[in-house]
Amino acid sequence: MLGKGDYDRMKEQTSSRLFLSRFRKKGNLKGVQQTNWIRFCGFLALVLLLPILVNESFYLTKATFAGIYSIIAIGLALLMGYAGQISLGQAAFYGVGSYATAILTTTYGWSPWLSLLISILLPALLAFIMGYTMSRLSGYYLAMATLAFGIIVHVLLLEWREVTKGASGFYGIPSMSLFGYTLSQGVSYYYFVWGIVSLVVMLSLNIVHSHVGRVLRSIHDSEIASSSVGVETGKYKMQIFILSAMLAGLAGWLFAHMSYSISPSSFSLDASIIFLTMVVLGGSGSIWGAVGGAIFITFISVVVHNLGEQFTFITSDFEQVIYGLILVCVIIFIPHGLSALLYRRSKGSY
Amino acid sequence: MMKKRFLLIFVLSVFLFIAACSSKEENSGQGNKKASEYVIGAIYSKTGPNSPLGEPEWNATQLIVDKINAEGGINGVPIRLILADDESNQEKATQEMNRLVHDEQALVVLGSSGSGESLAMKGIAMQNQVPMISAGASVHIIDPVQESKWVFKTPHSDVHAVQRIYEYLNKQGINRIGTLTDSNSFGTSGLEQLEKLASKYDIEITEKESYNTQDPDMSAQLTRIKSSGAQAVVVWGTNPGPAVIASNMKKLNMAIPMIGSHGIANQNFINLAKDAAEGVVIPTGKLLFPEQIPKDDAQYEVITSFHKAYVEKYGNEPTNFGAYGHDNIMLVIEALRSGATDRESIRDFLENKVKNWVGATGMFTFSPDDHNGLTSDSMVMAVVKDGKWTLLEN
Repeated sequence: MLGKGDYDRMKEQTSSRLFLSRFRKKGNLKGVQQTNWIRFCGFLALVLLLPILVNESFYLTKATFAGIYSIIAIGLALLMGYAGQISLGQAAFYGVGSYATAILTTTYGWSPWLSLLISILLPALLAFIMGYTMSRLSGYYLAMATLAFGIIVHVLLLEWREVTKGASGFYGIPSMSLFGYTLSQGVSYYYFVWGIVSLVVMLSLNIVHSHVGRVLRSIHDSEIASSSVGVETGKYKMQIFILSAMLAGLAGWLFAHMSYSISPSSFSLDASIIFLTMVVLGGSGSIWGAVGGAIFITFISVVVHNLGEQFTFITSDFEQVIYGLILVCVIIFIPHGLSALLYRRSKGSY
Repeated sequence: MMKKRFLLIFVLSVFLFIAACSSKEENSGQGNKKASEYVIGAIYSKTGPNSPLGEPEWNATQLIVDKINAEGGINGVPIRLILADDESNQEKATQEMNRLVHDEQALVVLGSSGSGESLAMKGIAMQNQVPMISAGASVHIIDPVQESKWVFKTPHSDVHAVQRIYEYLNKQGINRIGTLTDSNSFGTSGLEQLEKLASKYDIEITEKESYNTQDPDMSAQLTRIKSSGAQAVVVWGTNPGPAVIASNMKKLNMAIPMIGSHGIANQNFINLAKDAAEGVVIPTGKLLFPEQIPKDDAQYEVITSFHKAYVEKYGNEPTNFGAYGHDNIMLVIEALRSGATDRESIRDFLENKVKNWVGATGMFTFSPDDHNGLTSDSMVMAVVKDGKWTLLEN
């Protein structure tokens, strides 16, 4: 049996070795890498292009959902890939953001733009309180705590009937208007959502390539090593946790004003796990990976849907099986996710 | 070099954006052709937690459309039915609704089975002015009616079931009840109506308890109800919860009667609860026992022929949910037959022309103030006798 001290020492040694090996490889100083704007513009072009290539409403709705999920996945990728923390309660922040704006705009008649503030700040506050009490937790314990939080919020949405209207859902949410133009489901909401995704991507890339990003990565590699060189690990972990909650809240706001009604079933543990799958699939250390993961998961459901129309024996249950299969394959064959695979192909080395 | 490429991509994307705008305009010009077929969309929850509801609705819809098309369609025009499964999932319902409304240009959309999914669809129906007939239970789907111009629903609302139960209790001389309701949307919406109507029927609720659908034992709640001095237990939920409650009541030797909801109007409840089911009373639609409906009943003809055709084709009972599926599609066919062949006129037909229309669920009379169109008369009381649901004579 190894004592705790031994284990920590081993961890430190491996991490410092990792750290050094990263420097030894030429041209791979990810920390000081600048944002690849060409890639970003390519992404923008694709976003603008899609509604021309496919003008079926079904695919546009799917794509809009993919955008909303991308925002949550980006937050989770920052938390998992850069700060090394796992959250199983992302759907709860998503739900809080969603219900906050639904209640404020419907029951109290606020403008959706004003309630956006609350949709972002309320999850941030919850994350702050949670982070404050759980700052000493890490690894599995943090995952368990966020899991519990997710379940508590779900039960609250179900049972606090005076406010949330219970299991049948909150309905009558007004749609949004921008410069006098009503944003409704379809092309306009697609561009709105993906416009926000682009902003979030830009923001996240800047964080990743800044001082904060480098600190976070050092925490991910070894918390002990980074705290021993004077990094306030707790502070950074907390900040990134709050940011991921804010992004989930923003996604919730987008979702609520896209739909006429929302119900607690959209914010259950299943949703949290799907978000996690997106991040793992895309590669948790990458912003692009998170977006790719969200798109890929949506793509699978489209494929299953289309196959289901051809062959009656293919039902929606196939989706779950395929998700599971892909996840297992990813973990075995490409543990760093799809983005790592693509990166390796294009650069010749990881 | 990099700047040049950036510029190129930028110009390209602007160009594509403009192209996107123009191609959208072209699209909206289409779709005004003379109908060679009537496109009807239907979204039911064939899979997922609502599948016991969605499956019979799905089957009934398919059955009727097949029959109509075999007979040569409506005035020679065939129906193209597009069935979609929302997997009891609100996001999927939204996506399918968008597909049916925009891509398939459906004249009318039926569904969905659950209230949450129906509400999600309602938003799209209202925005795009497409008539929609839901099979969801919640009264909120069509309430307030001023904000539900395009939305109708055919299932009994909880309010009808509660009225029926309270009338029955009044007749039995019972005025103190305990409620035990599921915490899902069906149970909470039932409880809401039970509380709301209690004073009108002079009934006192002595104890309110709830449970979760999959709970294995409800003895604790029942003991509390027993000690509160209730003369009957009203249970609001779908299987398997109420079956567990029936067994628990038998074990606890509770002599007071158990009153269920229309959520357990199926043979499955009796199979689960076995002999503990004996004596349980529920309000239900008449399709539960077509052979027991008196011949002079206005619905006799509709119910027997639909039941016979359904059992012949699928080999199982249509249940009350099959009746919702039947009525939804039949209302649309009725509208098409009368010459209402676009979205606007179908809606107007439903609201103004459907008077005392005989369906499998009941007699419908829609009006600008009522998009459900049923009264509590369309429900009857049933009791479990010798392991079978039996019509309770008034």
